[in-house]
Amino acid sequence: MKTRHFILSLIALMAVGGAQAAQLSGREIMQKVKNRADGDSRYAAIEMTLIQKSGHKRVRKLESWAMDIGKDTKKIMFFTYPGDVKGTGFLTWDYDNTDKVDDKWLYLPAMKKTRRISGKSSKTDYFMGSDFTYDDMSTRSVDEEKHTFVREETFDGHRCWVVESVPYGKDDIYTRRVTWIRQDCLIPVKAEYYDKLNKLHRSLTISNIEKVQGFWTMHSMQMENVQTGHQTLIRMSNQKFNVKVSPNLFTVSKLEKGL
Amino acid sequence: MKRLRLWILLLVPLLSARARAQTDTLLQTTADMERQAIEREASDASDDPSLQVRVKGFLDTYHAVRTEGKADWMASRTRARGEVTLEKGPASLFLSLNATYNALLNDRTGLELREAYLSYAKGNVDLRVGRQIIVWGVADALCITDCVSPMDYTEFLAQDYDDIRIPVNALRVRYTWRSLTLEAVCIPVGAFGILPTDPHNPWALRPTATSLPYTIDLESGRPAKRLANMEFGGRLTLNLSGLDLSLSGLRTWNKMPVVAAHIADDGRSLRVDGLYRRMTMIGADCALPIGRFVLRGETACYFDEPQEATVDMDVLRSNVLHALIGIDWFPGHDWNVSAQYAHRHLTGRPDNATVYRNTGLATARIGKELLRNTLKLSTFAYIDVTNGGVFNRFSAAYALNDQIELTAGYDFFHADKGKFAAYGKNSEAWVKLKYSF
Repeated sequence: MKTRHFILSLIALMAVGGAQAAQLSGREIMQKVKNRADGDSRYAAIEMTLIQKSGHKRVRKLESWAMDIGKDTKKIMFFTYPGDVKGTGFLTWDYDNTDKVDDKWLYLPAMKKTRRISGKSSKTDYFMGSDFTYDDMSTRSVDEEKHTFVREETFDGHRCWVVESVPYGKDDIYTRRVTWIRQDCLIPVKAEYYDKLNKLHRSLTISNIEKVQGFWTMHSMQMENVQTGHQTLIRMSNQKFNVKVSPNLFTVSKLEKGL
Repeated sequence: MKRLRLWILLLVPLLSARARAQTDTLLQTTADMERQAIEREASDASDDPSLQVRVKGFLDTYHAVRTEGKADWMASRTRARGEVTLEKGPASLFLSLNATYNALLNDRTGLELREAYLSYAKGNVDLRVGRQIIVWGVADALCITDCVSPMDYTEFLAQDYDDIRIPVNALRVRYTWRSLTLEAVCIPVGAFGILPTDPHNPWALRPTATSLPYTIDLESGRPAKRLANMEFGGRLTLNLSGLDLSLSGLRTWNKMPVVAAHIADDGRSLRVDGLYRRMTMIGADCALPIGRFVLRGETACYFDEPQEATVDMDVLRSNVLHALIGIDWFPGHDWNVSAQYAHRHLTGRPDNATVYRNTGLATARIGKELLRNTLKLSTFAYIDVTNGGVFNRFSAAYALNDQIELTAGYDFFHADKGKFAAYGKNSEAWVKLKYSF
């Protein structure tokens, strides 16, 4: 009887050990990052500083609201600085389904007109002259890239997963991205983007991560184009989660009304 | 012993679940916090009781010189634009003022109240009353269903398109429900387009078929300010995933005057009058993204639109069908390309009409941004397909810093007949400096 108990206990312990050793796949990690709790709706004031290699700076400011509807995300943003783009609005409906093209509208206050723009447009263009592409700024579907777990390591004092992501699309400006994801909060803290010659092109650092309303929140992102020396610093302030917004905010009608 | 065995067996799934999904507990924890999170009212300005003031505007100076013949000044003006929005709860007031000094056209120097309206936006309803610019349709720089706010051709098309629109005194109500927007517009006293007649203006309207001295009066024929002459209409818009669709209708007037020429009794002079008649517009437009392209279509029928007639004949009426197809291409790398073709067809062309039964106008735009969006190159052309004329505006805008932009450009005209023929010698080089705040 004792022997039987011992064997059972041994099997159980081995199962525990094996399960602990089981590693999440790259896709599972990225799915967890995407599923990270961040409320059903969000608000942030964003300041983007574009810094040339010479040190010359340009600033862009905008306010952004987002709302999750199922797996999809609707987002509306208005530029508040500089003056020539103040009031310009950008509405996007991002779909989780990779077969479905995102919907995008741009409102130009000087023209008093909203223009529908291609959901496939601009994704690989740089956003407002920054080092972030439109794709970097939007919620990307996990299945747009193939994710491979590389290793676990400690970065900046935090235990991280390192995942390599290779986009399926040929249009992307990077051929692979390596991301360091903090295991405790599921936020990427570092990413490296490699170009078609497999040379490091851009380097992203995310800092000032803390909890706001109980949600892990990033406050600062720095993207540097290591090939040109140009860099962009994004600072997010006044972030709020589960903001009381009506779905009507994410409509063309509201886009035209403005802030 | 049984108890110990049970615990061990229970631990197996428990620990393996922990190892497999240690972050799920994080998700669970934050999900709990999410439920406890304080709902903050950040975005719905209609719930914010405090007074909010927003100011923006610009100062610009624009100068153009003719490049054909005598190289005289075509434009020289400096303008300050101020826009203020006062918002308290669901109510707001918007004011837009221009202070302009025009060195060539004295009557364009002064203060101008461009827009001034009150609005009330609560829930699904958005009400706006006052002097405002209302833009309909999906066409780019062409008006098919866009008949509410008329056009100011003081400098023809050789100015920024947003400067061309004339505000109207209107009541506009919008009701939005999900992707559907219903819009009703009422304009008690109509506003009409401006065609320049000042002989000092190089863009002035001039009779081309006669050498007789002439007088032009485009204003006396405007409709009386009576309730019966009110304009009204509406628009229904659906913004769906992958499709925008609108239907519109407007009981209106021909906003640009139809000119009627009469030779004086003594046969020594010509009198040109602007005529305005009641008409109705029924139209539809759509925008459809396909890959890196967006297809746009717009059509409208103008019922009883007045038509220009031969000298000494009364104005004629005809139903006119307009149709436009456009395509925008976003190839990436900060390029954008678009082209449009608009066709105008008179049903049952009257015998004395001086206009063609079928006319075509096309546009082409190519834009490219360089140096991290600090340099914007663009060329935009109107092509008079019927008569073979072209007007092309090329511009290069460079942002000196976040506030100041320097733009230089060239307007090129080439036409022997048609709508651009009168400006055949108006090709010009221009420069603009703009400070935005």
